[in-house]
Amino acid sequence: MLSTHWSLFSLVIVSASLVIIYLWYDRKAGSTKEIALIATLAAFAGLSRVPFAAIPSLQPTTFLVLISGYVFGAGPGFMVGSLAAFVSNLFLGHGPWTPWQMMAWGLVGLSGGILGRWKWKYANLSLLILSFMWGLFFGWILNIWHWLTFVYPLTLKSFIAVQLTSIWFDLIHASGNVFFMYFLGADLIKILHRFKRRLTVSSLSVQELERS
Amino acid sequence: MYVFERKEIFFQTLHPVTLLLYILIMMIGTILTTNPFILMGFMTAVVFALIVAKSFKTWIRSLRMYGYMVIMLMTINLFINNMGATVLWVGPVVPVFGRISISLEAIIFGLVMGLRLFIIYSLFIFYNRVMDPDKALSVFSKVFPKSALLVALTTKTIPYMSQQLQSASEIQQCRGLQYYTGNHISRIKNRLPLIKVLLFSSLEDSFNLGESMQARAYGSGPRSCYYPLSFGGRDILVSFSSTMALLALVWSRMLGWTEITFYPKLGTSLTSKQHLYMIIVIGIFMILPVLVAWGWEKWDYLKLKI
Amino acid sequence: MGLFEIKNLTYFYPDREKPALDKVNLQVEEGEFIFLIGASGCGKSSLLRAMAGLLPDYYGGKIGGGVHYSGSSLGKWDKNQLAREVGMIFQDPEKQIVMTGVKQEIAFGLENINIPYQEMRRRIAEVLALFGISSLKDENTFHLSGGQKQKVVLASVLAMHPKVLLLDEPTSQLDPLAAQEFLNYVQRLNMEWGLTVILVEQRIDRCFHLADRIIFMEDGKVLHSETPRKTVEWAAEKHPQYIPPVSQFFSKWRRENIPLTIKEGRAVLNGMAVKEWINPYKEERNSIEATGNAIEILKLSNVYTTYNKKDFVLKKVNLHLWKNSITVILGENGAGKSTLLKTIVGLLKSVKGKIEYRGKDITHLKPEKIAAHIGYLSQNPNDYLFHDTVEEEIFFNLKVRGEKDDKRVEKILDLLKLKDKRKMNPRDLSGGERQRVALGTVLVTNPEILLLDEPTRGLDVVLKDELGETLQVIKHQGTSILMVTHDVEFAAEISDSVMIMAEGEIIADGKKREVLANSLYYAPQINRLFKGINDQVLNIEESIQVINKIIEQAAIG
Ligand SMILES: Nc1ncnc2c1ncn2[C@@H]1O[C@H](COP(=O)(O)OP(=O)(O)OP(=O)(O)O)[C@@H](O)[C@H]1O
Ligand SMILES: Nc1ncnc2c1ncn2[C@@H]1O[C@H](COP(=O)(O)OP(=O)(O)OP(=O)(O)O)[C@@H](O)[C@H]1O
Ligand SMILES: [Mg+2]
Ligand SMILES: [Mg+2]
Repeated sequence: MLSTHWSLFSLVIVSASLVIIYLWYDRKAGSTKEIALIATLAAFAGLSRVPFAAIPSLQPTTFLVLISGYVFGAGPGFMVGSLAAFVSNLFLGHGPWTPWQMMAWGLVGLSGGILGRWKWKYANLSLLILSFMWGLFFGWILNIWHWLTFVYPLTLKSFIAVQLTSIWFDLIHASGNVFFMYFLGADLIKILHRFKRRLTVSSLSVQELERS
Repeated sequence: MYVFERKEIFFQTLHPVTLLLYILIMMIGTILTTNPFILMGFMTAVVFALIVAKSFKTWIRSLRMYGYMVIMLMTINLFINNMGATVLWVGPVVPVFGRISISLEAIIFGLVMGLRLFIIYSLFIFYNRVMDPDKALSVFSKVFPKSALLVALTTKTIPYMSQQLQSASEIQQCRGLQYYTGNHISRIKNRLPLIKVLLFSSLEDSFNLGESMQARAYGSGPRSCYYPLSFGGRDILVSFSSTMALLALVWSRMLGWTEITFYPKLGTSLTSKQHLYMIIVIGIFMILPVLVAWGWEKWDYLKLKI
Repeated sequence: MGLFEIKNLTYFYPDREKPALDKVNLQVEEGEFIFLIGASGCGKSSLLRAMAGLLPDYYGGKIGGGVHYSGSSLGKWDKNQLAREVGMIFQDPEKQIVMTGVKQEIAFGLENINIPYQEMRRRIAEVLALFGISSLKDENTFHLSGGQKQKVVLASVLAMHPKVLLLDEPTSQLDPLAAQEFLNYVQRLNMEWGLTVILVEQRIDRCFHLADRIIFMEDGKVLHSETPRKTVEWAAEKHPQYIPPVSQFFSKWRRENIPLTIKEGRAVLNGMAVKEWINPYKEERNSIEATGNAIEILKLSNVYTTYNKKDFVLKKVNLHLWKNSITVILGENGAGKSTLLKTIVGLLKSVKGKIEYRGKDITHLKPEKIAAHIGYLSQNPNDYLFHDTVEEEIFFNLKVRGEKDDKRVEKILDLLKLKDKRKMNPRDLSGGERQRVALGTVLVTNPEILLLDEPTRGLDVVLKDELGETLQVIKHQGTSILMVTHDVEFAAEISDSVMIMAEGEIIADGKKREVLANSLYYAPQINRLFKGINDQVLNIEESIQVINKIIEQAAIG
């Protein structure tokens, strides 16, 4: 009868897609340095959630994942996001919601990557808007699981009710994101760019050699 | 903080795959189950496992944080559900939710959900205590070299970072910066630059680490493993009882014994004698490894034998 | 055809105008032992990284020219395959430890090159024994002392049995005995197993005579590349600090056949020795040894410290620090020297005993309160780098004290030769430059007491001399200095008194000449050279004085 069917089923779907993404990453992924970079960003983003645990949904993780994707691209962005969820839950408690969070934050990173690739002049503004939007979307994705696992019956009404119950948290999340992005965004993006520069090598031509 | 400590603990001597199996089966079991008796069995197993792994204190300390989240969840459930037949209290009408009412079923539902969550939390504390990250990296990087490295590096970066944060703030204090004194605002202001520094230096370190790993030929082809990764007697024992527990669980599930009905009226959690036996069987298989671990601590004879 | 062929190698770090490597041309034969020297920041580490195939990869930037190894360009080599043949040890051991356990750290490299389990155990046991760290094998790598970390790092690379060994200041934190043993071992690997070695070290006296060839770098260029004997003759005029003290001493008298080792030096001395000239210097002793007025500024009585609440790392430490004096602490790795300094500045609390500053009990004071009087430089300079530029970093120490004096920063930048690096991010500096920045942050506040943990780490000889002079100056201005170092030459040069620590206790304490002269481990090279002739001589200046005395006496007599 109970929601464990749906809970488990959805969990399997999400986990399976995560596994597929990781497998894909395992085959294509780049050098040790890229891996080290992703690992660190993920650990950093994940850990940054811990000191804020007392205030639900206020945390810099979403923002950090977003700018990681923005600077390093969609693939690394996804990995950073999903790993960050994994890491932070080592402290805040793992549970069946972990895969959902991994997926949601992964998508945050992915969207950052897309925004980063699509260069236009209102980058700052669009980052602010995107970070606000993700505050809401993130909650909605997670609520699906909540709804499936802990709520009975599974009707549209109860679904909307669940979404509405979290609206305050989502708004806090969204405005937190905007806050972090506004005050720390530029600085941290600068740091990330510096490390991106360290990933790019150019070679000197013979003439340049002569001149130097 | 999550820093792995090597200790003389039975579970730490197990093969990582065995450990993963044991923990994973309890986890899956917990997700599959709403029957409070089976859940109690799991709970007992985990708590004893934590005690045997000498991390009872850590567990108690973490309870406060987790307890808060469990209570939050239970409260949400109380208010969202008004399906229960045995209504205990009728409250005011609230927009969106309609009339608030609290039923016995909703309370029980909340309690059972809380118990499940609790077991999962405890399992993870146990996992952190017994799974040696170095060993896990050694083993899993044979199968998924890159992802294993990614995960291992990530978890490794954590103690690294806390170490760094500590030495950085120590040195800042020695330079005269006040972290722990002064008024609230100046304390916060003095700490703010740490975020930037921390991001910077962790990235810097990760590059150094990657460089150092590459200089030592990481990923240069087939890889051997520093742990004698044969399955020992103890591994077989633990894997066997985990597998048996899983089988019993799956079987019970097919018979519908792992779940109980909550709404509209509470169903029974014990339907027959066989059901009782099955619950006992599951419990025994889950607790057996803990008993062995305990015996291993107590009697040197057992230490030599398995 | 050499093992390494480096042609026109030019390299710019990202956003740098000046090349770190400037058209380097170099050939290294198989089985050669090369000793690479040069001032701090001249590009030694960069060259080694380039040879290990790590340079553009992990740093970005622009590169031109090429490195060939074993006949084919490094670009064509599979990087990981290369790592199996070329072992590299980086400058900072703190930054290259991968695993959390000591055994696991050593095993890591072996696993990567697919060494079977049994063989792995053998090799691990071997290298642990070689470095005398078997007792640490189950330790957590976070809990090691600086020198112990360095030993683990060296062990983990040596265990892999590489064909080429690139060593970047491998003994910078080892105690004199361990350093000597390590170098002897490397020499043996080179002689008996044909290992190719390229060594960067600041401790020139230990390594000079071991090498087949000395390469001298300046500003990213290779300036000179010759056998040790020829290099001595070349450098005696232009770069006298870059040759061993023995050779420096003799180069004052002769231009050819300058001795390189103590053995050669003694042969020359014995040749000219007349028995009577043995102790003319003894009467002089007190004048050189003048330590002044005895105001006690810091006092430790019966201090005990522990990390794990079980074993004491410091046991019954008694220490007095006098005004206007420099005290040096020597001792083997893991003896508790850094722990002692940390206890004084309040980072660790002594469980028993008392620490007094000018008669005031400061045992339980917070570090930031103690910081008002005591400046502290930790063993790891990387802990000090927080700000975006070098000058901000140094100014910070003034800022937290509410001071605004920019001139002091200016003076410090000048003193430590960091003027042209002032706008750079301190993390983008070479090892020695970072050490200088950290030093600058401590010196700028003019504290009454200075605690320095291995301040000469990564400094080249010229900078070291200048640091010595600076310390003398601030000593005369009224600062008391307590310094931990493994550099006995430096200790002999600047200290007033010397202490030796072992296993958490102070086992020797006295005037520098009492402790250092004739010590088996801690005697400076010149002292060993003059053993039996004049046991009290510690440095070149003194030895020249002695010789001059002799010549004078001979003239009178
Ligand atoms: N990561 C980096 N980014 C930018 N510049 C760097 C970086 N590392 C070193 N440099 C610069 O390149 C030059 C050469 O540095 P390198 O580390 O090779 O010097 P070194 O000879 O090893 O010095 P030391 O003896 O102090 O270690 C220095 O001027 C330094 O400032
Ligand atoms: N954080 C720590 N936790 C536990 N033990 C530690 C810690 N730091 C140092 N130790 C131990 O304390 C002892 C003294 O360490 P300390 O760093 O004082 O040595 P040291 O004399 O400075 O050596 P070195 O010359 O190698 O720097 C060592 O045996 C070391 O393993
Ligand atoms: Mg260097
Ligand atoms: Mg030390």
